[in-house]
Order: sequence, then structure tokens, then C-alpha cells
Amino acid sequence: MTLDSPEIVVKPFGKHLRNLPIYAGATILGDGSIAPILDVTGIMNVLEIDNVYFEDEEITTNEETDEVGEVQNLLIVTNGHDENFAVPLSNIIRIEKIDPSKIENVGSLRTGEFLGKSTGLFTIDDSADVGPVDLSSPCSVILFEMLGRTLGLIVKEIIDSVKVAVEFDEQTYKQPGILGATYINDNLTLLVDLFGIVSKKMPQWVNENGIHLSEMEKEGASKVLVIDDSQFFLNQINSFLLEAGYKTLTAMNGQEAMDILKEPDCDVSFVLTDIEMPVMDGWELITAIRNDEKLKHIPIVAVTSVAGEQNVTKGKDLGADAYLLKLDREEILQTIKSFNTLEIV
Amino acid sequence: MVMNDNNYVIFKVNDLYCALSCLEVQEIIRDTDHITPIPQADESISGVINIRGKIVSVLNLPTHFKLDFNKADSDSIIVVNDEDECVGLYVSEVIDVIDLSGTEIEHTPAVPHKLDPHYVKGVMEFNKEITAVLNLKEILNVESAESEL
Repeated sequence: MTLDSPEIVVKPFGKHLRNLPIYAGATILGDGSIAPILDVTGIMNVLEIDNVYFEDEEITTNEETDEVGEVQNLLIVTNGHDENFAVPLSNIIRIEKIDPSKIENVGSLRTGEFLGKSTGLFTIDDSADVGPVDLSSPCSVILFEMLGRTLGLIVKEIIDSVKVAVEFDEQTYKQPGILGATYINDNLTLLVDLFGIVSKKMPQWVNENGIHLSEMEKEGASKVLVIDDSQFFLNQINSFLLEAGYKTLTAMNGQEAMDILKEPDCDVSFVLTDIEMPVMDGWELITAIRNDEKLKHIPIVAVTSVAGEQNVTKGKDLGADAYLLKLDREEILQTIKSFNTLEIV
Repeated sequence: MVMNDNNYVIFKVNDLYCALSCLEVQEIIRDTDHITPIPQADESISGVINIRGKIVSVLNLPTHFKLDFNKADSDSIIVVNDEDECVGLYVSEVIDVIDLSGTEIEHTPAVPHKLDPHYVKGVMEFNKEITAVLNLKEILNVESAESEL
């Protein structure tokens, strides 16, 4: 695959073609020709193959344990040493090259120029105890958006982009900047926590952004019920909510969540649920909450690893207030905060 | 020639003479080699074309009128304005732009023509040929096309 390919603009079709769910629209190529763009969720709906992607042979599973975790699109990179790192593709807006001599140091922050703008640059070893990025020759910069800024992560080499269904182990390797580890294609791979790296190096950005609650706000903060069948994601979301100042409860599927919500002294004021789960999935949970007189006012945010316009629409139709990506910590916190603020008022 | 309300584009859809008011026509494109087909689209949609960066659907008029379509005999796309978007009409041949001041368009429901009367506003004579003035709105109406299916 080419990682240097330019961004494309998806233009909608006219009304005569809008009834085709398999297309997201089309784009115009450099030579003026038109390339229709397929909509994966639309194709899945047409073929009625929703929810069966675990059977996809191309998805790498963790062979040692036969565990199948949540499907993730990851970019595999290195710092120029033996360690492999994975960055969630959903976080990435663009990949650029940089000549390290062009990197400038402003105080403790590195910056470089991308898209005509000065961009704050980070490295994985800024916060994690891993080999430092090799800056002796040109490097790649993974650009992402966070805290209202476009930022870059400097890495030595981009190895591959993979779609894997794995469960991350967070006990052994978790540290600032690293969420956990797993084996991908027989290589130990550390999952990079972009938010962790940025907030460790530039804590003032997190404070000024206000997604973490102030001491006063914590008093009236929502108690959030987090539901996910993956222990890794459950811990992930739970820990960043606690860090941001919320109280939390956790459940591993929709049924467990309903049991908690139906307890007489339940004081849950916000539900954050995964979609794909055994026993009772997120869709069923949303429907059950919305059909319960006592619970139906609770705001619900659905979170998933794979977004698609159809799913967003389905989630909203069933009564979810928002539909977000699991590893987009900033967006999740901002959304909960907006509901929390409403409640205090 | 100064365009006014009475100017009409005369064109052929197979052997039928048709007309559209110039006010409805944005431009005429003679290049029909760059239509990108869109699989799964309705059979009356030939595909899409790129007009100055806009993606424009091309409606195949012969097929839309349930007539035979012969690609070798079709050389033009008439681009029309449809509310807030443009649509291309794939036709056999554009013949002329004429000023119809003084010519009478008969708004007769009894169309001596092979076309569905819904698609015709009226008829007139051009070079001794019965020419149908098309009802563009009805031709581009997606809902009525769907309800026929």
C-alpha cells in the first residue's frame, strides 16, 4: 500500500444515484477521471453480512491463545530499533516525511512545518521507556488531531497497516504513552497512546482544553456506566474516565448493565456502551434503556472500533445520543462533559 | 444569437425529435467517451461525468423513454439544471438551437408520439417533423421513476 497517497475528497452523487447504499460518492482523480468510492457499511447492509467480520481470514488473530479480540485497524511503526509499535489508524489524518535537520526545538517542544503550519512533534520515547527514535536520517511523521491542534508523532519507519482482532495485554507493558501490548504477526507490538504522550509532555494543553473536570465540577459529576466485553477496552475507558474526574461502574455485556441499572439505589447518570458484545449487545441495550420508563432519560454514548455512517444512523435511530470511536479519548470526554454540564445547569 | 425565452435546443432521441428550452440547458457536451459507468445503478443511468470538478449523473434518454439505445448513434450530452444539481441527458444528436417566437406549441394531451405523455409538455413542428417539447421536471423526477418499477 502507498502511505504517501494524498487525501481524497468524496463528492456526493446526484439524486439519481443516491439510492445506491454501496457508494459513499465519488472522487475525481488527477487525470480528471472519476473513481466511485464504495461504502463498506452500505455493502455489508446490502449483503446482510453485518457482524460477521470475525470470520474474515485476513484478520490476524492471536494464535497463541486463540483469543479473538476487537477488530482494529493499526499502523505498525518502529523507532529504528527492534521494538514494534501500533498506532490506531482512526487517529491518523496524514503521514508525511521529515528531514530531522528541519525539526526545531522551542523550549522542550519539538516543532516542524506541515501543511504550511508549525506543528508540535512528539516521539514515543517522550513518555515511554523505549528506544529513542533514530533521528540520523529522514523519518516519518504521523499527523493527528488532538486538543484542537494538529500534532505529529515522529517515527523512524512505517512497516505496515494491518487489520487485526487481538486482545491487548495491559498488565506487563502499560506505561505512560503505551496502552498495552500484543503479538501481531509474531512480533511483540506495543499499542501507542497518543493522548498519553501528548498529555505527559504538555499537561497544560489538557488543562486549558477543559476536558478534565475541575474540582468543583467533580462534585456533581456523572456516574458513568461503561459496558464492553473486552477487558482491555473496559479498563482503558474506565481509567481515562476516572482520570478525568468521573465516577464509574463497569459491566461486560448488556445484560450485566441492565442488572446494574435496575438496582433500586442505582445512581448511574450516563451510559457508555460497546456495540459488539455477547449475551446482549449494544443495540439491544440501547433499546432496553429507551423502553424503560425509569431509565429512558439517561444519555447513552455508543462506542465502537469500526465506525460507519449506517451504524451512526442506526445508533441515533435507536436512541443513542452519540456514536464515537473507542480510542478517541478526547471526543468521548468532550461528549460526556457536554452532557454533564447540561445536567448541572 | 441572443438567447431568450423562446430559444429551444432541438435534438434527437433515436429518430424522435425533441426540444428543451434554452433556459433549462446549461451546456452541451460532445464527448461521450468519458462516461464512468456506475455498477448497480438503474439501467437508465449511463454513469457519471466530470464537469469542471462536479460529478454529474448522465441519464440515458433512449433507455429512460424505454426505447432501444444504440451507442454508435449517440453523440451528445445535454447538461441541464435540476434544482440545485446538474444532470446530463445522453441523446442521439443535437440538431439546432432555434428561436420559436411566433411558433405555436400545442399543449395537447394527445401526443402523436412514442413518448409517455407525462414526459411531454406539448408538440410543435420543426422542419416538418413533429417535435416534442419535453417536460424536464417530470423526466428528472426520481420518485415517479421509482414508482413505475
